[in-house]
Amino acid sequence: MGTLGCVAESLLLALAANGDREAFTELVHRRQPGVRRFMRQLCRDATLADDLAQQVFLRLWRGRARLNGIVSFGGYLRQVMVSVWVDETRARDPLHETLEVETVSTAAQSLPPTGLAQDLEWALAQLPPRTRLCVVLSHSEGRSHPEIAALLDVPLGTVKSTITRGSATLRTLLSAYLAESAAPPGGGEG
Amino acid sequence: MDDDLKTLFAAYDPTLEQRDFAAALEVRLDAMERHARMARWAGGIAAAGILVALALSSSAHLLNLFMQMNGFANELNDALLSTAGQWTLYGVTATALLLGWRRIRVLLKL
Repeated sequence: MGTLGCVAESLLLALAANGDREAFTELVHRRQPGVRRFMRQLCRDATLADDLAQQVFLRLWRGRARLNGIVSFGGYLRQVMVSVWVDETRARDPLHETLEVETVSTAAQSLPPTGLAQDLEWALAQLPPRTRLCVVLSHSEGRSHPEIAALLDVPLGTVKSTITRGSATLRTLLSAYLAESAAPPGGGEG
Repeated sequence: MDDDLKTLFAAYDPTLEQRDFAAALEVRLDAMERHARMARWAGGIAAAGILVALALSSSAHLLNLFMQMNGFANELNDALLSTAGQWTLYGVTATALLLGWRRIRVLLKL
């Protein structure tokens, strides 16, 4: 791994496409934090998140021949991540795919903060899987609405309304943090 | 519009233990490779089996076809000998005797 530490990603991709495990391991080393972070936001459970992140890399390795002529590895990786997550949600609960219009459970209300990472994961877990995915892609990954629509193969209007609904719910659930960030610096009345 | 939420997400920094992730992935990659290798072997053996079976069946088919043709030729041969063959033989002999009688006589110095 050490010898490939400073090699350009495009070269690593070419090597990995030809079956070089060392190059692929280096790619994994570079990209795994982002993939694991993405999955952790989506599924809250750290073990499951790591399992899904590994599935992403296993899929990449299985389809390594495609890595060679790839233009944007980040985009391709995101596509695989989304695909793994969608497959996971379908396998767990096929009905969720059709029940897009879902409201947050009445039990889910704003709680006193215990730590941003935990609370954000908890708040995201209250959203339906598809809404969660849209919100994470938009707010965490910085993807535009048309990009998300293309990625999920759904109409742009659906993406916009899903994100609006999800954001409103998150605002309610994370009101403590948002109030903190909205407060003027210094916090005094002047 | 969602800048406040985006700021929250940007601050999200979960603890990601590096410990077992790479090792576990290596194990799974090895298992996947092994599985793929075995699948390739099984596929190769199955393909070879199919090819052998095809070759055997096609050669048997060819042999069968040859034997059918041979049998047909034999039947045809038998038929020729029994009818046309005999009449042809008689005809040729009679013509030769009629047309070549002089030459035969010269040849035999009769």
